[in-house]
Amino acid sequence: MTIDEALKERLKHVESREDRLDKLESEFIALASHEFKNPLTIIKGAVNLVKEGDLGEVNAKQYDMLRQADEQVGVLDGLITKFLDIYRIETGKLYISKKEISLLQIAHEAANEITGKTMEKDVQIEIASLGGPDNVMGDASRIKEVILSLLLNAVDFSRPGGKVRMKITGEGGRVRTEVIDNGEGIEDDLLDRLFQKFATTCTTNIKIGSGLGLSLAVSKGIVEAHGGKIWAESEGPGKGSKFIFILPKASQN
Amino acid sequence: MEKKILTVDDEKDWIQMLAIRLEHEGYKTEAAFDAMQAMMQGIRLKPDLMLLDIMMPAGGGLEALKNIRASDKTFSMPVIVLTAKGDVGTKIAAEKLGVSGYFVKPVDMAKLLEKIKEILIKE
Repeated sequence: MTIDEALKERLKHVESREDRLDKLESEFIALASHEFKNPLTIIKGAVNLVKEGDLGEVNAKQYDMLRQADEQVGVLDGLITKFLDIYRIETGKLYISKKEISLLQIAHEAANEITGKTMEKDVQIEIASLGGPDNVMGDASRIKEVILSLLLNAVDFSRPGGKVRMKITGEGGRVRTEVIDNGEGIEDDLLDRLFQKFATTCTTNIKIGSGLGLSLAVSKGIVEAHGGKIWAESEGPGKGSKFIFILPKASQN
Repeated sequence: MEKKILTVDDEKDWIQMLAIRLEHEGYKTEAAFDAMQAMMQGIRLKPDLMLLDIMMPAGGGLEALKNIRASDKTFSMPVIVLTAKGDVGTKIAAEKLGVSGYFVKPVDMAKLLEKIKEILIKE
């Protein structure tokens, strides 16, 4: 066997090992979602059957308990989904289905989805497009997820009566999106760590976003999978914060 | 006439819950517990709609769906997929085989019932 042949043979071996690893990884994701989500399905199904009165009359107090249980199943489900997303991001398996989308439109959709939360917290969301086309090549549902995470964080950290501003600007070959709140602000040393898994803030003892600080890590993965960049700025505690992400403009792709 | 729904899932507890809920809505339900049964019951019972899980023994839901579309007795049967698999690849594969809906578990029952109603009105 010549060196060339031996190398080819070796390469084939490496490739088949990588194929096997790839397969194992996808099987892990499939298994994890199956094994976690099926029990959740049963719990949610059972709680709902009782809650909706399918198995007999339910009084208001019982209904409220079951509603809470149902809500927490939703929280747990969201966490599992985020864990799986982190896994997909870290293994380069986050699937992005790109088409031309308007960030402004997605921003409005996202804001509409959380009106319950903004009313409850008495926080207003203002969305402004500051000129220039705001179209990017992106995965609408994934980009909406990023905007939702940023908006929810901003609302969470705002004081009652506060305002969250969202600015979308087409500039050069990219579109810049800013989510600005006048809430509690972020300490300098935390700014860089925010987008790591399990980041929490020391200033408030409140976890960043819902779900163990995974939301921002997932957002970073999504933005980067689109060839974009995401970061946070703050002038310090008490001075509000600003989350910015930029994505390449549609025509540049 | 009473509409018949075939629920296919290897989780018997889940099937039982679905059945209670669907029967409350006035549907008749039948059950199958793996991909092979799904095919056979599909042909034998001619349901108006099938609720199909993807990760199941005896071939899995996608294989069952392929066979359902290949049989002249069941090729046009409306199928809604209910699955724990939230990945885009599985969704695309299912959509290519023709599905009327795709729900990721844990399923939002209100939305599912709405979808079922929409499909069965058309039928």
